Amino acid sequence: MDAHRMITNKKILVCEDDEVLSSMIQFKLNKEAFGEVVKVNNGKEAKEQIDKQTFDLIISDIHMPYFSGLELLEYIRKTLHKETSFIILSSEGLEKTVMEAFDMGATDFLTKPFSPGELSMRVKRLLAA
Amino acid sequence: MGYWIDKLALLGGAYLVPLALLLIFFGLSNFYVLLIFMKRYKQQQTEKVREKYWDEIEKNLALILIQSMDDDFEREHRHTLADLWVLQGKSPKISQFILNEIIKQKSNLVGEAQDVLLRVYYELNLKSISKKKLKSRKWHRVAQGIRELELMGQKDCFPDFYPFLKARNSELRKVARAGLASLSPNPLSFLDYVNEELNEWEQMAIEMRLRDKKKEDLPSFHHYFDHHQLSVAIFCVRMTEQFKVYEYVPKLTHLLETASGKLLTTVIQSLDKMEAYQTLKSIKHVLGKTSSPEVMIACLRFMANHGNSTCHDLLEECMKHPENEVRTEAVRAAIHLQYAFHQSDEHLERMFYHHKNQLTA
Repeated sequence: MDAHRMITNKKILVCEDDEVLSSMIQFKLNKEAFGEVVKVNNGKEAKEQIDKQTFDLIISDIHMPYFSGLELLEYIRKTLHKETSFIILSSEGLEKTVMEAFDMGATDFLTKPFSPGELSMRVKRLLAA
Repeated sequence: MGYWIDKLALLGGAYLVPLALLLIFFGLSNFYVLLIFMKRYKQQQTEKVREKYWDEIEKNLALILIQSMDDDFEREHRHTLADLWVLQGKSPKISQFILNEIIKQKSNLVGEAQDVLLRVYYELNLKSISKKKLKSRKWHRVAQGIRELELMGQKDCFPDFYPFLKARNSELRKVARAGLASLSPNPLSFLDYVNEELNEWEQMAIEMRLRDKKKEDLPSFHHYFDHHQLSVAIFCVRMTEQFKVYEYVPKLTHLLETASGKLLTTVIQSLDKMEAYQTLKSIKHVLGKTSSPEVMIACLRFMANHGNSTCHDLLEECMKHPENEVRTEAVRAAIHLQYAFHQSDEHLERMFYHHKNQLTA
């Protein structure tokens, strides 16, 4: 019970330019009642949200308009010096991309196609940590 | 009078022919411009429909996927499906947009979401759009239809691809063959009818489809080891190695006796990568009788990885080969097999240590 209470009232940012996919992710995370889920469709909006408020977790696609997921990650780690949990979503499972993401400080990496259930489990694990 | 008629005829010929040519050129240019204009107009109309209805399509598809995660799925699903039906009725292009989006989301999601997408695909009768394209006279439309059916996993449709397996258009041929490799229970059956070279792109497209299959669903590559088309035989040998089909090692070993040239080299390389050390004796036999440097190099590389002290004699022979690359590979293999140089041949000794120093530098 206490563990579940720990993973509510969290703030999650979902950065994905695919509207159908981002709506699904938002719905799934809302259903798990982790807290507030903010959805943006491009890197510019994501940066604005990150500057405006603090998030417990950011889920971002690699390829987005304006700023890529990796550029966003770099911004958070090197400019803002924040340790926010960061999950990268990507359709490329290339070893090079995965290594680059982890080198930059990503907390987790999920390759498409993925199951919403799996994403939810990983989010739960990260938020509980 | 006759003089004037001749004069007029001459003048007419001098001016009329160029005039006629000019008119033809002008007419053709206008026709071409008209074709481009019509194409652009059609694209603009499609884009307009897309802009008008895209948000609604995305919203409804997202809703359907979201509803699948809800308890009251069936009831809500029927409502949203009805909305999509209504949308479809507004323009014939909308079905294609919905299909494109479903295909895209299928590549994003696994599990129940995929089942939901497939269900929507059937309920909106989107399969018929792709099947209709197979009857088009434009090759790129046919290719698109095949690709859509393949991406949606419509296994019952692969017989419809047969007419295109030998299409003159190479792109259409590639798509049809790849589609068959993906959907047919006998993925390489079209190879029975291949008379031309299986090019690199086709090979890659087929290999990608085979990678999605479970091991028990892989085709019997060995049926094509002696195919009359060299590229097909080489492809099947490579696939045997790629998919680590170890039960074919005896067949590959048998192929060592009959194959030559590039096929033989590929067989040796495949046995090497499959770590078929038990074929060492056969490889030594090949090395002993071949004169092809490429085959020798492949054999020597095999020996470097899987050889033993019984290979030393052959290695010494290869160190004397006129081709530098063969000598280098022989020395490389010797180093791997911890060969101790004991020959009295000074030239050979110099050459051996020269190559060894180069390799170990």
